[in-house]
Amino acid sequence: MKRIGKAGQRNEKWHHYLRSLLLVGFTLLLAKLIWTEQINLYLAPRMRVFAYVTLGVFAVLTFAGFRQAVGSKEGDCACAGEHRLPSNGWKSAIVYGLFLLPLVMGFAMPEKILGSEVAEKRGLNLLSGESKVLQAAAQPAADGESGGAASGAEANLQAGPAEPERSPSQASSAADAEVRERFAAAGFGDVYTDIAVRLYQQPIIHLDEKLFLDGLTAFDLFPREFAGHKLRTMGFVYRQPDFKQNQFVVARFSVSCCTADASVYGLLAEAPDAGQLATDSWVEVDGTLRLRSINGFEMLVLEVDSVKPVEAPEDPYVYFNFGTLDSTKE
Amino acid sequence: MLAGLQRVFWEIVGSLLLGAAIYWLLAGQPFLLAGLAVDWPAQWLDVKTIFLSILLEAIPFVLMGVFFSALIQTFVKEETVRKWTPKDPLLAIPFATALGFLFPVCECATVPVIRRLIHKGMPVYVGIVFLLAGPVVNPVVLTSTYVAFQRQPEMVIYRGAFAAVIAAVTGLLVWLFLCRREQSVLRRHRPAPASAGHDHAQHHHHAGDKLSATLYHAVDEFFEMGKYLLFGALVSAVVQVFVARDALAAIGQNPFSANLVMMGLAYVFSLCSEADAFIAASFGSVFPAQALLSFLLFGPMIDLKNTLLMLTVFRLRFVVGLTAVVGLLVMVFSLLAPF
Repeated sequence: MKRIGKAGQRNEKWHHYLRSLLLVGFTLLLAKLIWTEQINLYLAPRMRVFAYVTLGVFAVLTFAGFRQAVGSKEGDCACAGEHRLPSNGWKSAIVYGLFLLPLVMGFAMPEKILGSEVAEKRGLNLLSGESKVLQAAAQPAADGESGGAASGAEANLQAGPAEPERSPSQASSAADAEVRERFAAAGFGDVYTDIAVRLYQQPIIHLDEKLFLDGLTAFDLFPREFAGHKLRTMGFVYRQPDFKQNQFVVARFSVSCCTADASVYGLLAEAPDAGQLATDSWVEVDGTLRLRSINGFEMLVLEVDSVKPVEAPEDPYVYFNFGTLDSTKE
Repeated sequence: MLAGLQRVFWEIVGSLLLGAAIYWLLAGQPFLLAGLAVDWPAQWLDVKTIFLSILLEAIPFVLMGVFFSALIQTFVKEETVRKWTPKDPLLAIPFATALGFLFPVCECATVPVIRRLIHKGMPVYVGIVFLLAGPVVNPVVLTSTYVAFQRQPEMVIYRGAFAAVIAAVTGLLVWLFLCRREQSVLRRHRPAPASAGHDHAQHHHHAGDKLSATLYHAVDEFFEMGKYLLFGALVSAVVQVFVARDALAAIGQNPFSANLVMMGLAYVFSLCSEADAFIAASFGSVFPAQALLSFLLFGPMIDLKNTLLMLTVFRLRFVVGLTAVVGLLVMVFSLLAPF
């Protein structure tokens, strides 16, 4: 379609129509993602509000775009040639192709939850890492302060599973203070002390999606206290090439703003029949936390009692709560 | 008559596309493309996920910037901008740094705003200071950094303070070297025919016209900014899916190269400055704290996405120079940080 002379204006109109159609596409794509809740696969909860607002803005812009295309001279904005329309066909094709790409991808390609392939590229955050350094520093202080208490703690650990059988109303306040003191001694701040205490008092620690990350951090900070505890959690099966036959990781992707910043966290698990579990399949595992020494680090490993295959959850990613303990109280 | 036919043609095409899209939306599964949907390689599906997620995250902020810019364009007079900006660089530079604290925006939103302000007569060096400091020195970003680095709270102080200093030094350099020929760093615009006085004439319309002018302007600017955002997001998504982080970590053996690798990653990832602290923290086991700091300083100031956005305002030579200066300063400051 070539136009010369007076055709310039028509050319502009053509651009305006195309843009309006693209805006329609963006509006519909966003509406679709929100309507089907697939937006959960892209944005963390706190960013979703922005997507809702954006949908409204896109709707308004689409309307404006069509008015601009249909109306005559009113369509010019006052910025004196700053917004140049692409001058030739090739440029237009590339530019509008770029805008078309997310629409085509969004409508034509199926949704996929991030899995092992990306996890491998990103590297896994197991229960170990930078906190070890700090922990080494904190340990002597804790030991010095509560000298004999350490052995007392060990004894308590053995009795751990029996503890919850006491009537909660009477014993809980006393136990609360006792347990809290033990965790507070390490000096990692109130947030993780709270979480650790809460987890510690559960007969079977249920590491659900709300607690996954904070729970892992708590285990990381207090490995000895949690050794021997029973635990139930859910995640996808992830393996690294250097894993033994019976090892796998129960992993979740954590997302802080959008899926582009996802990173993988997980709990190393050991089960005799681990080999039968398909990588990337979702499982619910029950087991006991055991303290192991791996590469010179003490870390908790889940000794698996039972594995149950489950469906991937609607909202597959996990998010940091950062002190908003309300979520754990529910 | 031809024009009329064409218009009818486009209206038909438009309604067909609209109908098809609504059908897809309701049916959930794309009917016509169902055959295609089966064979996508898993990695390209991951590219799609990351590409769309960057867009979904960035577009609200780009739109926010676009609307700010459109409002400035329509409602703020050039004299006002000139009057508000302090004349003395010793005042103007702290002023621009503090601006970030008042307007908590990330880099997607700053570029359109800066672009508009510079066109309205804000000196380039003041704009640069805000462009560099704004995305770091703001309460939202510093809070998220604190949350991500709870065990190293000093990271927040270093990040905020060094970002302010680096922005100020860069601004000062721009002022020293370019004060006489500021216009030369800006991209030249094709002057619109008979545009003298046109700008002003447009502003004396009634309120309704101002509203539609703002909206039209926002549409234009969305497409102008959007193409760079899309390209940056696409490259970032492809790199993130196809390049392993360990391979990069292997390069970063000494402090200098570790910083260089982390700065390179910050450039390519083009993360929102509100989120990048979490990514930096996830590298904690691979890289030293200095390298993480360089990632946190460099990323929000210069990255792939905002380089492309900056090219809409500045000339290539200036952008390259700016990147070099900022890169050097980040390198020096992060290596000096006493961890």
